[in-house]
Amino acid sequence: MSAPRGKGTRSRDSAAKERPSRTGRFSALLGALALGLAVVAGRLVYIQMIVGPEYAAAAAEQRTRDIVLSPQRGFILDREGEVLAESVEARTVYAVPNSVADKPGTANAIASTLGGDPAAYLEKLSRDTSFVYIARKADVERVEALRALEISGLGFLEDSRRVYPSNELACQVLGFVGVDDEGLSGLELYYDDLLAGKEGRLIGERDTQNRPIPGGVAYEEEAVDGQDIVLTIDKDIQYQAQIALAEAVGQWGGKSGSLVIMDPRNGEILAMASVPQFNPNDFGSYDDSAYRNRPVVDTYEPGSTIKSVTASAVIDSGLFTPESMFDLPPTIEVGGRTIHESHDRPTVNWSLTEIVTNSSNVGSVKLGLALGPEGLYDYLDRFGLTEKTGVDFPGEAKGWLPTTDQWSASTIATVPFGQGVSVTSLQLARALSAIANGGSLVTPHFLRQVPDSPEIALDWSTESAIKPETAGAMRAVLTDVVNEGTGSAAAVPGYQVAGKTGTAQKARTDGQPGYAEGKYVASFSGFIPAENPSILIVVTVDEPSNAIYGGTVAAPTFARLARFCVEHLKIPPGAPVTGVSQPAGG
Amino acid sequence: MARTRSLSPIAFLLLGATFFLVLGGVLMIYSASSVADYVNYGDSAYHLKKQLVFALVGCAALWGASRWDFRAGRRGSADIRRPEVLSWIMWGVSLLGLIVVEAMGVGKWGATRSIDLGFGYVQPSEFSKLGCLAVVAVLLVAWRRGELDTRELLIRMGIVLGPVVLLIMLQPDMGTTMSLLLGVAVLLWLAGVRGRWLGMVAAVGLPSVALLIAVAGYRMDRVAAFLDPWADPEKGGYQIIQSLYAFGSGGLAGVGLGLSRQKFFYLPAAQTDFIFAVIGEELGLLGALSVVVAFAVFAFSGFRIAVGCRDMFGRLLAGGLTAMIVVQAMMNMAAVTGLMPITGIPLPLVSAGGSSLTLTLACVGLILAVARNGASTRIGLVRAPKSRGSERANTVEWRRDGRSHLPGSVGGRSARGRRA
Repeated sequence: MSAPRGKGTRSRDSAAKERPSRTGRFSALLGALALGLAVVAGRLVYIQMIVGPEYAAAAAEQRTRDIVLSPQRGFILDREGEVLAESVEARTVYAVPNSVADKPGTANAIASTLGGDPAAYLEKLSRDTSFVYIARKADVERVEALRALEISGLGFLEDSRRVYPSNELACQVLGFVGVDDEGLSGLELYYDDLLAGKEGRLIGERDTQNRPIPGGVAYEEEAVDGQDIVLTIDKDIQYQAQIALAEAVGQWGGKSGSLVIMDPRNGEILAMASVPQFNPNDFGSYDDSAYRNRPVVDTYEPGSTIKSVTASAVIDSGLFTPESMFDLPPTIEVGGRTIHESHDRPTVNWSLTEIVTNSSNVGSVKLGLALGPEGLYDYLDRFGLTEKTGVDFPGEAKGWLPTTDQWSASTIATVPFGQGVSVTSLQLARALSAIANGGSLVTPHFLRQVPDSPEIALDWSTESAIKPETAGAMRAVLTDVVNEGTGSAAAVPGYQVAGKTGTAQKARTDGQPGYAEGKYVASFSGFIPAENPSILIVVTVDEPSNAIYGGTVAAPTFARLARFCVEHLKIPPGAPVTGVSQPAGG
Repeated sequence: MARTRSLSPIAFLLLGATFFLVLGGVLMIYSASSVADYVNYGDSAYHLKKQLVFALVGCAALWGASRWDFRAGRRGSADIRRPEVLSWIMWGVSLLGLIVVEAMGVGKWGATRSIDLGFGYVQPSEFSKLGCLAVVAVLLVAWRRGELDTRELLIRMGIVLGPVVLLIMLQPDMGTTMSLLLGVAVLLWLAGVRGRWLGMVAAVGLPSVALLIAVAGYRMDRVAAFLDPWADPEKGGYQIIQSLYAFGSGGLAGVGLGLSRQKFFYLPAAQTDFIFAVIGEELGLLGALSVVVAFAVFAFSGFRIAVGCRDMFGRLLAGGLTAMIVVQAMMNMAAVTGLMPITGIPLPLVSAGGSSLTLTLACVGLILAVARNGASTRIGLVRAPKSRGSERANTVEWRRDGRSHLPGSVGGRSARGRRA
C-alpha cells in the first residue's frame, strides 16, 4: 500500500503531511483485522483439532439414545388355561431434559395426566442428562392423554406391565416382579428364565424432539417375548383353598396358616395357600411376612401327624401288623424323660391301629423303640423327611432332623410322635403321598407344561419309599382315624377319607429349651378317596387361640375342601378297595 | 464516463471473495435449514429459496451501487448523486424505518427489529448502519477540508448518531449498535482523527458498553455464559455449547456436506447466527478456515481499493464499509467459537437473512463504485493501452487535469477561506 503514498506526494497538495499517516492508518487497521481473523483461525484449530474430539463425543452422547426394549413377559396359566399372571400393554414415558422448554409447565402436565407430584417430575426434568425415565409401565390411556399434548422433549416407549387379574389368588405361589419385569419371588422368580424372554436394544441418533436423525447411527435388536407356562394349579380349587384357610385361621384365631392340595399319584400341586395373603399387583404395601409361601418355606414340628410314618415303618420293616397288640402304661420314661399322653388315660392294651387312631404318644414311642434309632431314621429318610422335596419353587426349606449320631438318649422317645424334628407341610404331603399312592415318593411340582417349548422335558422323579402292601395297610389304618378316631371332623359323606390329625407344641423362641406354653400347630393331613386317593390335603393352622386340636381346627377345613375337590374334579366314590394305585409319573 | 470504466483486478478479488461467501452461504443455508424447514414449513427449500431471492436482489443492489459516480454533479449542488445529498437521504430513510419499527415493528425472542412489508421482513437497523457511515464520512470529509470545525463535527455527528443509536438500543439490538459504533470509530481513525481523541472516545465508550451490559439481565447472562458455558448448559450456555459441539464434531475435514447432526434442532438459529458452526461441522476446519481466509481477502482487497482512491470520501467510504463488514464477520465468528459473548450478529454475506444480505451486497457495490471512480488515474494509466486506446487515456488525463477539487487539505482550506 505504498503506491498511494507516492501519489500523494506527487499531488499538488504539498502541505499534506497527514497523508502518509492516513495511509498508515489503513495499513494498521488492516493489520488489526488480519490479527483478529488470525485469532479466530487459531481458535478454530483449537476447538476443532485439539479439544474437538471431546466436543464430538459429548455431541454424540447427547443425541444417542440407548434404550432397552422390554420383551413381553410370558403368561402364567392354571391347568385349565385360566390366566393367573399376564402382561398387559403399558407405556413408559421418558424425557430428554435439555429439550424440555417449559419445565414447570411440563411437570404439571405430567402430574395432571399420569398423577403424582409435580415437584418430583420437575426434579427429574431438571437433571443434567439426555435421558430420564418419567414413568415406567404407566397406564396406556393416561399416557396417550399426555402424548396428545405434544410436549417437546418427552418420549414414549411401548412397554408391558405385569398384572395379576385375580389379585390375591395364588399370590405366594406366583410371587411378583420388579420394575424391570424381573421375577423377585415365587414362580415368577423360579421360572424367570422361561418367562422373561430376552431384552432388545435400540440405539439411535435422535434430534431434540426425539425423532430419528436420517442417516444417523441406528441399531435395533428386537426383544424376544417370554414363554407362557401352564401350572398344575387349579384356579377354582386354589380359590376355595384360600377362602377356607383364611376362614379357619380367622375362626380359630390363628397367627397364620398353610395349605397344600396335591395329587398324591404324581405330585401335581393343585392348590397351595398361605395366610396372611397379599395382592401381588400392589405387593409393596404389604408386610414381607405375607409373601411367605408357607407350605414350602416354613418348617414346624409336625407332632402326631408323623405317627403315620412311624406306624408305616414298623409295618414295612415286618416288625408288626396293624393288628399287633401293645400294653400301654399312662406314661413312659426314656432317657430320663417322661412321655405323657395328651389326654390322661389308664393303662390300656391297644392294637397298632388303635395307637394311631387315638394318637397315642406312648404307643408311638414303643414303636420307635422297636425300630431303634437307625431303623426310625432310615424310614424318616425313605419318606423324604431328611431332604428337600425338590419342588420347583425358590427358597424351599428342608426341615431339621439330626443324624442318629447326634441323637440324645431321649430323641428316640420324641421323634416317633413328632417332636425334635421339623418339616415343611410339603414334606409331610410328600411323605403321606407315598402311603396314598402305594409306596412311591413323588416330587411335588407346579409346572405342568411349557406350550411353546414341548422339548422341555418335565421329568419329575419318583422313588420307592415303602412296599405297596404297607401303603395299603396304612390307608386302612388312616381311614379308621377319620371313621373312629381323632379325625372324625374330616369325614366327607359318601366317601372314605384317610388322614391324621396333628397337634404339635411349638418350641420356645426365646432361646430357652423346651416348648412354649399354649403355642400349638394344629394340622390335619389326609387324602380322598381313601381306597384310591387322587386328592391329598395338608392343612396347618399356626397358634390357634380358640382351640388347639388338629381334629377341631384343621379337620373341618380338610372336609370342606375335600368335598369341593371331589365334586369339582368329578371323582367317584367307592373306588376299588385294593388301595394300590399306579403312581403316575410326570 | 464512469460507466465505461472496467474493474481493476483488486476489485475482481473483492467480488470473488464476495461471491464465494454468498454462494457458499446459500449452499450451507440449504444444508442447515432444510430439516427444520421441512418440519416447520413442509418445504425443505424454504430458506434456500428466500436466500436465493435476496441474493438476486442483493446482486441488483450491488450492480446499481457500483454504478454510483459519487464525483458527478457539482459540489454544493443538490444533484442526488452527490454524497452529501445521497448519504443524508439514506440516513433519513433508515431513521424513518427505525421509527416505524418502534411504532409497529415485529420480532422474536424479545426484540423488535423488523417491519413486516407483507411480502417479507426488512430490518431498518441494517440500512441505518450504511446511512450513518455514509453521513459520517461526508461530515469527516467536510471537516478535513476545513468546512467544519471540530465542534460542529461533533455536534453533527451527535445529531446523526444519537437518534439512530437510541432507536436501535430500544429494539434492543446491542450487536448492531456495537458494529455501527465500531464502524464510526474506524471512520474517525481513517480520517486521521488524533489517536488521543479516539482514546478518549474509547474511555467513554467502553464503560458505557459495560454499563449497558450490566443493566440488562440477559446481557449479563450472555457474558456469564461466555465466561463459563458449562455453568448452565441448558439455558445460558446452551447455544455456545452446541456451537462448540458442532465445531468439535467437524474435526479437520468435517462430517460431510449435509450431514450435520447438530442442525437437528440442537444448534439454535443454525442457518443464521450459527451458520459458521454448521460450516465447521460439515466441512471441518478446512471449510471454516476458508471462510476466514475469504474475509481476509475481502479485507485486503477492500482496503486496497480504499487507499487506491484519490477521493477522500471514497477512501473513507470504502475503508469504513470494508472494516464494518469484516468486523461484523469477526464478531460473529468470535461469538460462535466462544471468543466473545453472543450478540446476535449474523455472519455477513453467509447467514440467512434478507436485509443483511441485500445491504451487505449493496455495500460491496459501493466499494466497487469507489474502485471504479476513485482510482481513475492509476487504473486508467495501467489499463489504457490494453483497453480502448488513447481516447480513453485522454479522457482520464482530462479528468485528472480538470479536477480542481481533488481531495486534499489545500482545497478544503481554500474553500473555507473563501467562505470566510
